[in-house]
Amino acid sequence: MGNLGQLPTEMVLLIMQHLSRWDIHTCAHINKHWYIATMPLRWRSLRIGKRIDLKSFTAKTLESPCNAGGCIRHLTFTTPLTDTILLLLMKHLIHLESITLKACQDITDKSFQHLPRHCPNLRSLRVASCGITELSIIQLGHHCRQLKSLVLEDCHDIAMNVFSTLVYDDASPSFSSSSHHATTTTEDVSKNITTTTTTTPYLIQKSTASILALDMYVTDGLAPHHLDNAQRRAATRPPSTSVHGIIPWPFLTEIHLGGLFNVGDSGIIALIQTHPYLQHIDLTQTRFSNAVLDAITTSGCGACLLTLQVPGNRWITSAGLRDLVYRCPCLRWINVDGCGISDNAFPEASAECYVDVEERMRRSFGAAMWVGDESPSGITSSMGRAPFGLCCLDQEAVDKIRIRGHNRTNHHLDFSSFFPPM
Amino acid sequence: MSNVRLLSSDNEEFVVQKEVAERSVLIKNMLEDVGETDSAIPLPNVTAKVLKKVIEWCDHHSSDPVTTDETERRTTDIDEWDQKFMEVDQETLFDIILAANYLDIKPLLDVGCKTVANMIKGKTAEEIRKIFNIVNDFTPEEEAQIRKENEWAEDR
Repeated sequence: MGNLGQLPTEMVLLIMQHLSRWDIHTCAHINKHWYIATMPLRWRSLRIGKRIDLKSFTAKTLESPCNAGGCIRHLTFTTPLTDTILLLLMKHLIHLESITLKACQDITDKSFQHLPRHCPNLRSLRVASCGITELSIIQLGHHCRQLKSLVLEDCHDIAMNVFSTLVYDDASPSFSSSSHHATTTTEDVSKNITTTTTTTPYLIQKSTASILALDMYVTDGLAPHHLDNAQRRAATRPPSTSVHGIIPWPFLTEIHLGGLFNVGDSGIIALIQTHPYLQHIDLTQTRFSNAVLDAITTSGCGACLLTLQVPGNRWITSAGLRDLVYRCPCLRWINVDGCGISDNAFPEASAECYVDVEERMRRSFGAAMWVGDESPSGITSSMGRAPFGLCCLDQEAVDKIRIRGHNRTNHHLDFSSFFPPM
Repeated sequence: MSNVRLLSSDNEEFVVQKEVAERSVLIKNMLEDVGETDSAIPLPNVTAKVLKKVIEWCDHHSSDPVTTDETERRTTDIDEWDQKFMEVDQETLFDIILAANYLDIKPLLDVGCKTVANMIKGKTAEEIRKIFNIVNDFTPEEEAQIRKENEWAEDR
């Protein structure tokens, strides 16, 4: 008769549901059967870098007789990775759902463009300082139809094309910024080159239409010659007129754009007007004026906007913010750290205006609302600076401003007309 | 209340109230497919000894509401009656779990798994092997390998 040592794998997994991570790891020691049966749980989510060194991880994944790589759902690399290793690994990561590459300057399209083909279930991608270009992003959109979240930190090679995709909904030959990358790519890429150089924004937007959250951060801002083009086009053609009849990433609900300090009002207004479902807008260290706040209230997203973060923007005023609060009924969080707005700009809600952003934020939402496991880069980086003036308005503050504003605008109404004299 | 006849793998027949037997999704679906029938339902994967235990459990829980609450399933708390019910030798426990899986009785399968989980909780691998009478089939080198791999867990 049976013995618990030979319990079928599916039932071992049911038992493991009731156990802690530590107990699960102990169970791997019992015998070979339990070692293999607990694999999907132990390998589900791995962080390569500190305790797991890349060498032993690679060896284990490549040599494992029981398809260990296929158990991995979430993978984070905090250690430098090379194209060769990524190429070796990706064939085994067939069920991968999210991948994070930190400080992987050596990763280029050469390896990365093949990743989407091997990992079609990818839902979330987070890369920082990566050498990949929009070619990889297009591949990603092409193969990973469930892709929901894209985080690009300091990926200068992609930033402009992604941004122009957001703002402009046609394929424009004037955005052929990828041409100088063409020479560095490999053979099988070069087949696509002719199409990508001229229509990159169009291809990006077409292939990655499923994305809901985008987080992009560039420390040095975008290159000026890209911006000239962007601004000229924004000025000449209203963004709602579409050549191809396609709105880029129409369902985007969450956007974090950091460091685009030289983009200007027109670019951001175009972005807001083409994305009516935005609920979370984070424009850290991005320069724009009250005109953008006005565009938010008049466009579709004004009705569903939940949070707005504009730290480090000294061009907006408290009057603009107050107007935004009045006109966005769902708004419950505004971060204006370092915007130079006076402590007493909102006397009606002064008790709920905070200096410690991080603490209030944690209390208001927990960490759940962000893409990935960390708060957006802009928030953490802005914490280091000494706060001057108002930092943020929480839900209570926003509600108070809204109620007072409502009373103020209505108090002149003559209610006596509703009650006819007795 | 109509009755249902169940036939164990060793050809012992049990007469059970339909309501009790329908705690098993397998039997419930079978009855729905076949309709009214006088013939016994054969259960070739379950012995009389185990089937008797399973019927005892279903009888006690026949009036339980059907819960699909995930959070409740996550805890390792077992109610008192179930705890008593699960005080059996390991072979029987193993068979009850397999039978609950085969007969598709989710709550019973859960109780079984929780019981085993409670036996494992906080113990070392050697202790677990002893409790369940499992032979260690790793070579010393393999064990060292796994120990190294398990250090990965401490990363998060």
